Amino acid sequence: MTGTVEAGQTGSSPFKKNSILTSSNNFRRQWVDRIASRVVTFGGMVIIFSIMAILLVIMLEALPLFKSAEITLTYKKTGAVKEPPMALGIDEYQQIAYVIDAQGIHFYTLPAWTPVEVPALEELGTATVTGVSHSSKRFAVLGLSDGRVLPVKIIFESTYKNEVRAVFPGLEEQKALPAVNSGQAVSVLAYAHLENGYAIASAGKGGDVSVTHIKLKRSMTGAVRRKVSTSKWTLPVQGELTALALDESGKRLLAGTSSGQILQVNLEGDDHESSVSVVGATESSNVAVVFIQFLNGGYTLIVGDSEGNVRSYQLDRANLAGSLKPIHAFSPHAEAVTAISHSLRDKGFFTAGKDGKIQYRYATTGETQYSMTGASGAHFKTLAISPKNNGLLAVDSKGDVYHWTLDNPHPSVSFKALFGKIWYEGYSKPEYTWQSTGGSDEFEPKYSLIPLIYGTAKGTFYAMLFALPLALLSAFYASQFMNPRLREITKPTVELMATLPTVALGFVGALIIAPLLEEYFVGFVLFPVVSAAAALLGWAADRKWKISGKLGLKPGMEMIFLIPLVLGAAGGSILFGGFIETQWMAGDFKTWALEVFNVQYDQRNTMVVGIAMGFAVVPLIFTIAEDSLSNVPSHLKAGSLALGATPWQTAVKVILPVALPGIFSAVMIGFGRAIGETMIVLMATGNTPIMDMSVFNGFRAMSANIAVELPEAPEGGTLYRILFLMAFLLFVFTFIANTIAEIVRLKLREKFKAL
Amino acid sequence: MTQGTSQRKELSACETAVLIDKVSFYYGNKKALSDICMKLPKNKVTAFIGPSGCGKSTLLRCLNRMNDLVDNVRLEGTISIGDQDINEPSKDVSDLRKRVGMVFQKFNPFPKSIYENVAYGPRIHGLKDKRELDEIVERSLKRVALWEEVKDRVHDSALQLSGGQQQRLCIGRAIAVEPDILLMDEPCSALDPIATARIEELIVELKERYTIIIVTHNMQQAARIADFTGFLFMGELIEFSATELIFRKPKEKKTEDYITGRFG
Repeated sequence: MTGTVEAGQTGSSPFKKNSILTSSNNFRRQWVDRIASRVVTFGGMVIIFSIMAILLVIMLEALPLFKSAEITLTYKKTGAVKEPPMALGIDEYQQIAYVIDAQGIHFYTLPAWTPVEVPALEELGTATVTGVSHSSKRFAVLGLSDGRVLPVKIIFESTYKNEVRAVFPGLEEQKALPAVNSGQAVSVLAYAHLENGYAIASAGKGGDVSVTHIKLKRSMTGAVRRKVSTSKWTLPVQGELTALALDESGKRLLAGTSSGQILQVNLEGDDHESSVSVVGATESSNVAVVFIQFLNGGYTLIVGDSEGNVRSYQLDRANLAGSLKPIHAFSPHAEAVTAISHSLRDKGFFTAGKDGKIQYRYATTGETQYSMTGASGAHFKTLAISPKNNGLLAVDSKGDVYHWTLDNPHPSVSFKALFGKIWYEGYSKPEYTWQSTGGSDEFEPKYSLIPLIYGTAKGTFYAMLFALPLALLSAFYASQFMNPRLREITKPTVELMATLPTVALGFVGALIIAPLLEEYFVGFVLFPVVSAAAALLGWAADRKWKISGKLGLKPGMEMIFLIPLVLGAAGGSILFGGFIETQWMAGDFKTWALEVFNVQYDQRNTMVVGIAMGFAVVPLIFTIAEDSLSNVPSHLKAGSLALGATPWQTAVKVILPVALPGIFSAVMIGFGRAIGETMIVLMATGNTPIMDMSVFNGFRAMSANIAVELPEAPEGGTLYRILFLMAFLLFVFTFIANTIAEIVRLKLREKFKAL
Repeated sequence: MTQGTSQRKELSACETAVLIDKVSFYYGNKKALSDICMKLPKNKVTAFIGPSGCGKSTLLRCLNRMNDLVDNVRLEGTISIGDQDINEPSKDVSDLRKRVGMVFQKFNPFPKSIYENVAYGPRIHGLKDKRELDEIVERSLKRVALWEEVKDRVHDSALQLSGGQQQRLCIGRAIAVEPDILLMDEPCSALDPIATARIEELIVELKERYTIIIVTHNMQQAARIADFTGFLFMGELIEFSATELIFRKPKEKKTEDYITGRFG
């Protein structure tokens, strides 16, 4: 070792005297070298970090979707409520709470729980409150001990004084209405908000129910005229009536009994007998229905029973006599349920049970997301979710008041909601559906990613189906058989295609290819066959008459001879296609396909996308595959040819296996490109998120969906974050495709590295 | 002198394997060979020597039409093997190359197993029988003295072999299709002296069965193994006679200058 060092030293010494290689020159060279390598390293690192940062941002935006709810007990007041509470409410700023008990409605400030004085209810008189129907919509209907019902509007007025918000509660009594058999206390009530008024159903202990519709008409002078109509029903109740619910139309009444039956009454029915039907039941007649509650939107209703079961049902809205469809059985309470409070914004609701628990459930997915417990030995008697879904007020059997703040911004998202089949409201069976926005607040968003992943896969599949044969075969021809001089023109031309903006391709696809394809579909399908036949005929003719030789075409320039043939074949197949259409398809392929195969042909379909996206992917695959085929060492080709192999044998048996890694990565890179392609799938498909493999209809890809919906997704909302999740999935898909490509390429290159 | 004349007589006495008649060759407009006339004797080793760019490799590649792969080339004159003009348009070039094998400067085994490399030639010419292929592989590898070294691993990748072994494999691959003539384009230039010596031994052994035409830069090599040597300079055949004559008593001044190292 020392010997070599010495040799190096003695070897370098003569150069020191050399005037050209002075130390200052050397110093400068080393500095330039050092700076250059630093700059290159820095540039590379910046790119890697930028990509990581983009991924990180996408992940951070999507991650809150899966954050579990944050529940904080902000306030607990022991023994604050003396009288047994019947209902509870809270204003949207969570500053004022109200409790409905036998004496009426009482307001308290939060968190101090000091009573706020409001004028007593005049209509109440000497009667006491015996039942309440109360939704969170600031409207309560009180059932009174003297057989009347009293609708009360609860008002919160917020004012700002010195930038501090103050909320003032108030009550707006309506006229009390006579309800059941006069003098009998009203214990069970239901109330529904109708388009032009409201409806109240009320009952005492027996099976007699009275239903009152109040229509409000605003006259020209501005005065409100009330039109009251009441109908009375006697239900065949075994045991006692325990729960009532009116649907949104006010035409259907649901009643639960202590014997566990759920009865449905068609309030528009002709006679009482046929209008009443039993639509559901608890496990046994010992298990009483505790509540029937419609969720926001009026499609889904929740039934709780005295064994702690909580189930959801869907209403057949179109048919008043239709039955209930059981959808989900939520994880039950250990003992009887006591109360329910549902959200006014989504399909979430809380239930309380005698087991002391409060559980939060989400009706779309049927999942129970979290639960809270109070003091041991007590259970919650009544609940109120705040109008903004960010708080929950509860009173327990000891009269203690609990107030939780909730942070659960994305209750509708779970693994099941994103990737599972869900039985949505108004659907006849569980399905994968993407429908992120609807017309109303009551709309149930459908966030299944499956149709979009399916769309991405479908678009990619058909694009590759179109692009792969074209790109790979042309790369094979160009690298192995085409005249080098012709290749020098062809290859850059194809590569130039890759620079076409995809929006232009999408435009061409949607506005030119789609209508043309629709008109000449049969001809288009015939084209590959006809052009192949034409090429074979041309080849045979060339062999016989030596046409290309006479034209002065060199070997590998036969392509020029083929171009007119292929163009002729295109014209021929269009004519022939038209002939087939008039002869056998009654003149129109679309109607023929619909009639014979029951296949709907949409103008903007997957075939159009396949072609347009194929054109985006072809140059990429072509150029990488051509490079890897051309880069096979020429001595291998020569070695094979020298053994007497034909060019075809050489290409297939020697060149192709060696170029395979490169071809594989070309395919995978093309695949990755097709997955992420946006503009073409956006413009050339119908963008319908359907799941159907047919080429004749469209699809919606994840990328296109992001492009369409992100501009109108409220920042930070569920949809916004789901779109980011989708972007993350796209990233993962392309990452997997490219990584597989790279791994396989490296593995195979290892095999051929000695070349 | 007497030996020289006897060998010289032999050239005319030898059976002719390849007849090159007034061959000129052009790359585009550039003339690479001009008016080459020679008779290459059968079952002998003939060497082409000359400085770089003299056209010796071009001449060799004319013999199995490997120059066809190059764009824009032109050949004048005739080359006949067994009374047939190899450049006749109706002639199948694959068939020619089956009869005229070639070994390249850069050893080029296919990235396949040793067995597959040797079996490749017979396979592409339509042989499918496994037993026959096994026999051909064994026989060919034995002829190139590789069998003993690789018989336990014929199904391993050929790329694992050493350079000398790879070149012998390439020779074995070439003779597996039973050619009449074997062209060798500087077969030892990428090998170390020991591997070179083994290949040279092999060439001498192989001339019993094949007519061997070799291009070499190495004059000692030509002197050691070739029976006849042609000296090319600037596309012209300066001198072609028995190796001993060329090296001992060159007729032309240019030959002498080249051999004695005055240029090249």
